[in-house]
Amino acid sequence: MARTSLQIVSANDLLDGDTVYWGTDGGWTRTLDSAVVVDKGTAADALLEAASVDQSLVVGPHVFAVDMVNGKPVPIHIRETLRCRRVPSVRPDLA
Amino acid sequence: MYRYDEFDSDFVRDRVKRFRRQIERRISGALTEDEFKPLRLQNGLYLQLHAYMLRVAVPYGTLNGRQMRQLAMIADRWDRGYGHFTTRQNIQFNWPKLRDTADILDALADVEMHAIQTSGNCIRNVTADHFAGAAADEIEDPRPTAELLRQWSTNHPEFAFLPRKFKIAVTGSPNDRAVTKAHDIGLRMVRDGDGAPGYEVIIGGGLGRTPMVGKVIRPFLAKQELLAYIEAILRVYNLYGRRDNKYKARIKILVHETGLDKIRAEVEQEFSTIVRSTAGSALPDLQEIARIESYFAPPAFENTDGDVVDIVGAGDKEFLAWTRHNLAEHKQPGYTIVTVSLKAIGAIPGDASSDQMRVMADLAERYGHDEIRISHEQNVVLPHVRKRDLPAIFAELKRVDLATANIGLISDIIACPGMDYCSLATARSIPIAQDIARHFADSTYAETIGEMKIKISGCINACGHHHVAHIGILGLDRKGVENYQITLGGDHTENFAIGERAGPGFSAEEVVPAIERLIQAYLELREGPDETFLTAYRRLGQEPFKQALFPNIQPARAA
Repeated sequence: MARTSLQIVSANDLLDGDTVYWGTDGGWTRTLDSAVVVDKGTAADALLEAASVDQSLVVGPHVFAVDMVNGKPVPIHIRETLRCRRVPSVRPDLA
Repeated sequence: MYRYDEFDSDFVRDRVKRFRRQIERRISGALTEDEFKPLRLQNGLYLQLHAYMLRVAVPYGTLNGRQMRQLAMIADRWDRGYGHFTTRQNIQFNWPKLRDTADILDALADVEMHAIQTSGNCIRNVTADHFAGAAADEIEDPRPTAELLRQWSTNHPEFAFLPRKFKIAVTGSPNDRAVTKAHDIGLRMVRDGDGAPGYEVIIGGGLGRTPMVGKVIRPFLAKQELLAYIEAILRVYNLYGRRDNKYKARIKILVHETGLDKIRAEVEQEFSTIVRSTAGSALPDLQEIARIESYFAPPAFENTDGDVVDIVGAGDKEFLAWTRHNLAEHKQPGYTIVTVSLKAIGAIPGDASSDQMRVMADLAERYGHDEIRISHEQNVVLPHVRKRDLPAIFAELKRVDLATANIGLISDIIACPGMDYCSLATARSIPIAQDIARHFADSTYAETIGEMKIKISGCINACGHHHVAHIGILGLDRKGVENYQITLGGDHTENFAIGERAGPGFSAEEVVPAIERLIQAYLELREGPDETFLTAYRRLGQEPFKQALFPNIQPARAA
């Protein structure tokens, strides 16, 4: 599979630990489709820096790689795929 | 069981109060995450993939009904209705909210429980044989020893910041169910030439990325010398243990790199110094040992007799299968040890719903002298049960899907939470365990295979004990895709062995067929039904099993 060099910024919400993404409105969002998608490298570094300025609402900002599929970001790594689901793959009933 | 005194109680309550204020300061922004993280970890609060996780200590795996019921209440009120019992005899709640954790810790303190020292580079929850106080083969109950160590190590100022975490396990039986040779310190109760009980002291065992077999540093240690000797070991480790590289910081690496003899000499010298400098006052006096032991006095057993078949006859095959696999020999005639399987076919190993917890609490109170144990194999044990109460217990367990007759069989699998929950994991463990259990769900087939320990870890840290499994499975990350490596021939018992890697890994879909090929090879190769997989493996070596795993690869020619 061809790999893109696109990345988005993610973290965990401070209060409940839920997965959040740095969104197009300049704040944290729980919707992957609303995440800012940038090129790996300088743009991703700058986005991570911007997202990391205020960590009073989140824990552990980091970048991860995505592909764009039908115009929507899709995580490449299994770890981020599982995080995006918000519940364990073995407990879909909790969603 | 041990009851908190006023000092224990005040200490735990004070910690909750302090943590409550620390949480408030983190939420207000007065504390950064870097400042807050070590504080939350000291109170057992981790952050995982989807949520926070609170790891609660179950001291040496012992609970009573009230405590189990409180865990159920916590699961319902502040979590998602279940908890996960771990290979360190603890319980983990997977969904606590940050604001609620102080309330949860207060609720735990109400029943004399806490989450202190379930994280960090300190002495962790001391574990013990899950049949403690009940096993027919026991020299002495290991729990007073574990409790003494718990009291001594809790908030110990000298050992709060060790080079790395430190785990101690105690067994009172020659049949080692506590995996003592895989711990930083393992204590095995033995008798000296005069018949007095003491300890064989083992150090430097461990699993993780560098598995090591524990080594005997002292063949016999008198009971009243225990704390001074353990203190000497910890002091030597604290001084010489590596702090420059966390992967080389455990005592197993120190012992391996320094050599057992040199470490032993250092420990013995420190031990002598402690004894001399304190004129023996640092040792627990026999009165204190007796005080702690009194909390673990055996319950008032009845004089009762009779075997299971005498009670129910041979009619109920399902019940009899359960009695064949889920019972162990008790020291008291007429009594038995019940292991409640948390491994129903397709279930998540170690998970129990709040309803199931309440049923186990009720059964312990009604039929089991109010005693419960958590096993490192992620099952729950009712250690003191009259045989004549077994039908009633079985019926009640069956009602809540806890009566699976599979202890020690192929579906009694240890699995760490893996990448379904854990932020350290490199692959999922639970779905692999579920797939294997479902594949071998036929009880006749499982009984034909006989004793089998499959253990699955979702990363190299080996929380799932894969190194000491008959068939171990290690989940790894291969370029973002889960991949599973198989090890063979491990053994957690007194015949301790680290499993040997059996070649390249498998994709998730290939694991079950690979296990099936291994089992078929075993069934063809064994000398008879009495030869277990592990015995056959030891007799034959890895080659025939490797051929079964990789049928398309030609075996290497002998030189």
